[in-house]
Amino acid sequence: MRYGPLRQSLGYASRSVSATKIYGSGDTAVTALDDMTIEIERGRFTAIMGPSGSGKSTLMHCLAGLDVLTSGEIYLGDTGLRTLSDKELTELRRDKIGFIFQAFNLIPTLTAEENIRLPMSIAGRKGDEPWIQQVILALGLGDRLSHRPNELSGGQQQRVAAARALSSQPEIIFGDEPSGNLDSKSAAELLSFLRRAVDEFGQTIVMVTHDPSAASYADRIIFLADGKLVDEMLNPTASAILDRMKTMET
Amino acid sequence: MLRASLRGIWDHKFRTILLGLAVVAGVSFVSASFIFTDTISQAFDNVFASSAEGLDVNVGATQPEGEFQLQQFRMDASIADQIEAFDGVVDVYRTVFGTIALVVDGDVVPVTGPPQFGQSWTGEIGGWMISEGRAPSAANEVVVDAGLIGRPLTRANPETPPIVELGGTIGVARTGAVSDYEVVGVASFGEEGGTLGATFVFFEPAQAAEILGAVGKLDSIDLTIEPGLDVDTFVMELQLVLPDDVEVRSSQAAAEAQAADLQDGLNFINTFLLVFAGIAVFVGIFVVHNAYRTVIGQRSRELALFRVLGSTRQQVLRSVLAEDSVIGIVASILGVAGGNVLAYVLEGLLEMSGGNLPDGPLQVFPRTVMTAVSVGILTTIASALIPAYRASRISPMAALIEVEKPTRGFDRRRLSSLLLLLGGVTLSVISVLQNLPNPVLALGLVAFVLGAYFIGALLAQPVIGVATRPIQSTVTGDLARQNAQRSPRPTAATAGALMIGVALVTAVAILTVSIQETARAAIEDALTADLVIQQSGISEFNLLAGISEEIAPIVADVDGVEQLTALKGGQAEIDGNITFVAGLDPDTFPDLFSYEDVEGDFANLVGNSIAVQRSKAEEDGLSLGSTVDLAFVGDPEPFGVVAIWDLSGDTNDETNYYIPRATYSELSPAALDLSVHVKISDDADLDSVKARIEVAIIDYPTASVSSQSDILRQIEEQLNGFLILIFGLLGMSVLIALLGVLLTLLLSVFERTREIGLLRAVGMIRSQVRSMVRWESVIVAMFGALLGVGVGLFLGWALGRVIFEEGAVYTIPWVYVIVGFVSAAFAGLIAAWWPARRAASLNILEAIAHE
Repeated sequence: MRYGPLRQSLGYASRSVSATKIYGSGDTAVTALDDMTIEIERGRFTAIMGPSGSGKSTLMHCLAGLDVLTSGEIYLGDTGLRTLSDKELTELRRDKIGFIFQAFNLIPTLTAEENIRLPMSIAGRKGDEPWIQQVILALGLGDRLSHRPNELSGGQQQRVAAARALSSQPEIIFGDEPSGNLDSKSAAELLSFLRRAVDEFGQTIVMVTHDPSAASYADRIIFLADGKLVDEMLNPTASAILDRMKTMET
Repeated sequence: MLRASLRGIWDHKFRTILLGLAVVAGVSFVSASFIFTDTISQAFDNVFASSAEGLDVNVGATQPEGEFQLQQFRMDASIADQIEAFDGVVDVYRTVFGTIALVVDGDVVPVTGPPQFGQSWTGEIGGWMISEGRAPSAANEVVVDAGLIGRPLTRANPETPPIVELGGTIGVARTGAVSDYEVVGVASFGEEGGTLGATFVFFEPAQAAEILGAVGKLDSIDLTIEPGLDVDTFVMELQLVLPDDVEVRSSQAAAEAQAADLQDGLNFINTFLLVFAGIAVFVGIFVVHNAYRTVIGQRSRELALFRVLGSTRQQVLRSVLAEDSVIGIVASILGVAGGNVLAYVLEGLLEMSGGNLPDGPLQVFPRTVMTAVSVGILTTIASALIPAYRASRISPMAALIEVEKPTRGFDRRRLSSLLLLLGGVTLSVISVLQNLPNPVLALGLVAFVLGAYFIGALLAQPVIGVATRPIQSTVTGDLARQNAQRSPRPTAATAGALMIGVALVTAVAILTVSIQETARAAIEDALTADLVIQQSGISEFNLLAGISEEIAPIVADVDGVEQLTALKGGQAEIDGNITFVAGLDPDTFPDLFSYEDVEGDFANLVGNSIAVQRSKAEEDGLSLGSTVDLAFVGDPEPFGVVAIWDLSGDTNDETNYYIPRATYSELSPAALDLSVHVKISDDADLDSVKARIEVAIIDYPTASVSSQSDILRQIEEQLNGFLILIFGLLGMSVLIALLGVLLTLLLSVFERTREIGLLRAVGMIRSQVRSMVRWESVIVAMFGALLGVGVGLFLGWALGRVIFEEGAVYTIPWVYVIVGFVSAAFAGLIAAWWPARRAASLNILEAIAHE
């Protein structure tokens, strides 16, 4: 039983209140998020699913402070993002948020270790050394630290990205199809690690995916369609997700 | 595919504009060189065309061959009477002229540029017209040319400068006291600025002969002849009856000969400018080539896609070259337009360095446009040819799979670059030491510069790695360092373009500073004189070149003057060669001039005896006791060599022959004193003695007193003017190189869009992104400057072989080097301004999604 009452009491890491995002204006206006109110609980692994154009990426970008809403509000912990300047948003991302993108997660000129420590070096801080070592160990990257990204396999690159996301002990990690470019074995390794990060370290993770098996690692799945929250699923299994997706498409 | 190329130009407007700018700048320079010289040349032609107007034949004294113009050769006035009696002559105009000093409200008008002429008024001939007032009819009346009217002539009272006006007075002096004349008329010559900056004062003829020291003499006789007579035949017939030292020419031919002299000077200026334009174009090729290589690298997937879709290699090649030609043509046309603007800038630069040039409408000849446009198109095509060829070799597979761009692969080049560099250095050093001809040295230097450029690509990684230690602790500095190191070839190519400009600037600075330092040392060592009195503002055109003989005795009586010696000097013929000869006083000369290794004795210089500088003596096979034949105007007389001396590193002293001053006066009675050298008593104060001498010789306004430091300052001013000019001309190349830095940065920002997006996503704030790009720019610029200074130190040594051989001391201009480095860093910052802004303003989401 991964979803217990204890964790529920930890509150929300992130939430949106009446979040609306409209791209363009006039005839060409597209409503990507339509008055959406959702909560992401702390210490849990949440997956966001939905067909193309459902607004799942927009939601994640807005939650992560990469994009701004047309109306409504996003909270990270207790901090409302709407009034923050670009600099404050950037520093918030640096200190409170970790990212794992689908591809091109790493700076090619930096070694794996330098990439892992990047958010701390941008901030001009040292970071929590024992914790960083623990993360590196957990991801099995110990013998790859001095390699450049182009000397690493795709799976290794994504693990470095995961280590970077975790190393600064952010309040929340956002993953944008983090396993999307990986073969099934590497994908399983990465997702298991993310799972462990939630279970063992109490990390909050939000992941956008369209892959049911990836989503099955999550505690909770939010289904979006046309910019609206249409369904939720707790403790999902891959087959249950597949069934749910089939009904959504019809 | 052509449509795709054109759309490519449109889609990358900024990149295209920048690429184009590098070409525009080079082409502007080339066309400006032509426009500038054509414009002056046209102005000269107009001037000389009008000087022959209404006249048929010109008669003048035959001028000897040789560079020196220290004395004026005149003919006897009786020649004119002889001509007047000649058959077919209608009118005879007798002219005397010479240089004069002008005094306005007690201040001498400085002569550093064009000469100031005094001339007899012979009526409205040869292009001169009285535009206001009347001709001079009394001894105290003058007509001045329009260029003298109403403008400040001296530096006194900048607020209310003294000016010359019709009805006012103007002071004129030659060697003695100033006489005041009433300005009764204003004369103008041809169009405005027709005198090329020279100024004229016209006197009543008898007064002109008086003040110009030409009583009973004439400088020029102009004739009109009976209509219907053939001018050329007349010239020949007249020449037959006149003595050999008088030359008869048609007025047309005389004007053309004068024009041709100036034209030679102009051709030199044109070549000089084209050399710098060539350097700018060369740097432009570096910049454009480098940008093209990067662009084509970035477009390789797109080009490969064309290949997948069935384009042939030729089509790819053609499409790239088509895009390139469009840029080349448009940039060339803009370049010609820019050349017009730049021609004005060039004129300003040359005037700042002391020249004075006539004004006139800018002349743009078809030849200029054609040359400039061909240069522009050839430059762009040459720059793009290799990248375009590479593009056509891109495998279609590159579209389908991610091809990792090779970052290394330099080992093959390492050896050849090193060999090129070492070969160049060796050849240059041997050329300098063995005095091999210039082309050999040039070959060595070109090999050296190219070798340095290629080595630069190899050095980029290690040097930047070490040099950036201090900034590696910051993440932005370290990322900038890694970006600069990541692709050494674009970095080195960008730095290389800058290297060329900086190297030349350094080399020129070395040459001038070495000359300055050597002159300082020479003046401090060789001249024991504390003060020197000579004509103020001696210029190349100024035939006055001397001061009154009355000055030396006056100065001798001034309180605080311990010893003085007066020198004469001028043009004479020795063993058939026209050369400079000085006359010295053997009693006082040794007290004021110290020459080393004197063989014989200066004290023996009496009667017909001569002292010869050692290298000249060796050249001519002279030793003590030899004789040379020396003549001023009359027949040659034998002179015995009584002393041989060494130059001892005094590069300022170009005197090779000394004869006794008394003998000089006998043979050339009209000669003035060239200079008076004064040694003050030990207890006297230099400045107060100088002031007392100035008061004592106040009646001789053309004589000026200078101390060693004054002379040094004059030399430095001259050299600084030259330095400004050269730096200005090289500035264009440096500017193009900086454009290259900007282009490279912009392309690298574009190439790293995703990276920058990622950095922003994980928390890099905008100012950090900007600082990262700026650091990269500063690193590349400083690297270029470092290479440039290194190359320049050697270039300066090799190019200055002539001056170093003559005793100049190789001096490294540390101030310039340091200023150069700091400027390079600042220039890097400026070049990075826009790319940094672009990088910082990237939309994070779009940047991350960027392909």
